[in-house]
Amino acid sequence: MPRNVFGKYLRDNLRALLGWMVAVAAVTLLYSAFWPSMADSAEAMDEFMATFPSGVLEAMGWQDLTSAEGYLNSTVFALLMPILMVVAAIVIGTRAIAGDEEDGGLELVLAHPVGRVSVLVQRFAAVVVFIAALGFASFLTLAVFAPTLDIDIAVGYLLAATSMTTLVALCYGSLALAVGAVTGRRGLALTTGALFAVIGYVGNTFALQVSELEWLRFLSAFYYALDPNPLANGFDAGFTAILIAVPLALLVIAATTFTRRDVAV
Amino acid sequence: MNAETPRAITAAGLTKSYGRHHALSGVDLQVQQGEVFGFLGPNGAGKTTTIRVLLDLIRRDGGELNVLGHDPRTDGVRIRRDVGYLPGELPISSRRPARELLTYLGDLRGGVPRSRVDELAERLSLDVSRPIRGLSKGNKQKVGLVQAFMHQPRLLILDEPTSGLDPLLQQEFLTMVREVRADGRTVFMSSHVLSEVQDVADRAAIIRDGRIVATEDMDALRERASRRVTLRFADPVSRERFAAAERVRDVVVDGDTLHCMVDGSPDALVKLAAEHTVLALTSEEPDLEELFFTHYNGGDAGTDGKAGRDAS
Repeated sequence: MPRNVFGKYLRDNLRALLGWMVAVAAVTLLYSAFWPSMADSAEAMDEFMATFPSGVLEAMGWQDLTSAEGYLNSTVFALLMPILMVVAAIVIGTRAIAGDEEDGGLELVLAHPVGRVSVLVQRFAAVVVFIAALGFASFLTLAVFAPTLDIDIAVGYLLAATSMTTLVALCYGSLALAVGAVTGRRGLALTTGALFAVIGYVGNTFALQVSELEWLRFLSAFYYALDPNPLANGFDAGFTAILIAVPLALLVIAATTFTRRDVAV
Repeated sequence: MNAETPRAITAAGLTKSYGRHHALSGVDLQVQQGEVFGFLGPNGAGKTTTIRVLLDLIRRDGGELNVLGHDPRTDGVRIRRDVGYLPGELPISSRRPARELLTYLGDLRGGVPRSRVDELAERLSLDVSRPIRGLSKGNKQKVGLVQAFMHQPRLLILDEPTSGLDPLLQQEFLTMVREVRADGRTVFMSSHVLSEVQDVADRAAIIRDGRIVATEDMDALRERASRRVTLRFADPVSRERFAAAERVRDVVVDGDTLHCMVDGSPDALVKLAAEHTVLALTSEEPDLEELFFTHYNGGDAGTDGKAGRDAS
């Protein structure tokens, strides 16, 4: 039985969490399972890739497909897995305050002897755990199956890469939570989170082809997570710090406003 | 620590606006400790807004407020420890069983004995093992009542407590309210119909367009309440005799059927009707609007529409 706001929020979302974990693990496994056959036809693939203009490849997030790191970066970490994680994070972050408020549940909790900051921080912590569990599902899948799939990457690097993607999701989840805490509007929280995620994704892929848009990548959490290439280099201290600082800053902004505004109007 | 604070709620000039809409334009309330206080008003009058200000869910723009000796703005957590609150709606859509929600809410208050929850659930015949999502409106209302009463708070704030309850459970609810009063604890309950509170409340305030228009003893209010009565007789009756009866007005006779308004006691009407063979008698709930129209606001009541949204 959950005894506090943190535990109750996780308990209420346990089914969703298990569903998302299965999805993230499945997508991770599906892509990486193709690596052995891809490695066998590496030369043919290289020739095929050479026929594209280099800009197209970058725009699609494709890298060198002949190494395991390049392959995973171009598949698992480039598209579906981070998108799943970001979507899950925005959904759970929106529900944490604004969603619950519009459903009427938040009013009941706040009529109890709990402070608003406490409720906000506990819900945020639950969102962190939720997203971390998704990242862990992806990491575990890679770590367990890497040896059998001829993926020769140290576990520490796998951990670094999945952690960075997890932090990307946390950034956008925190944004949705913060917008919800400031405004109390579910729709606004959801669309702001999604909008920034799309800008961030595009900013780190297609926009790189247009020099006028290159600055966009600094607004992109994906840039800070993927540019240091953690699969090959491990954690990058500076960029990791940025990806941790952003959610914390959003939490502080959310807290200052949430304690002052009217709830359930 | 002031031993001579007999008031559970003191509000003076509470105001709250949303943009140009004035939800509260000067609410004054004095609720004594140990009384059952009815808070009456049509939908959209400001009842729910006032209640949310009491709980510090909404911050007032102006005015003075004291709940159980403290200001909700600065001591919200402390006040809410001693308050049980029933929201106007309990739209919790969790798939988890009601017991889990009740245990959780109890834990937010430092724990409530399971036996206490079971006892209340039994009184209201609520099955706490069922998921909240599947519960009917009435059963959700019971969950709300259990969580409001279970920790035996000093002050109960109930927003439309009997909506959705069948008559038998309404009686049980009223018994629970009387027990709270017998304990020396306070109940503040809102409603948009007089009958919901008239059997149990000691006093009532009437709010309209964000302003308290009257605070009265329940007996006085009942005395003034107007109700629409319809009588059907075996034979046609004369309009004039009924129109002349005390406290009876707006008499319309349509063959063997008589419609009229009765202000306060229907004694004269009943005695007059008893001279005939009565086939049917219906008496509608006293209408709050009617109450304003006849006694408080003279002409303008009901004309300027219920501006603003339904806040309940």
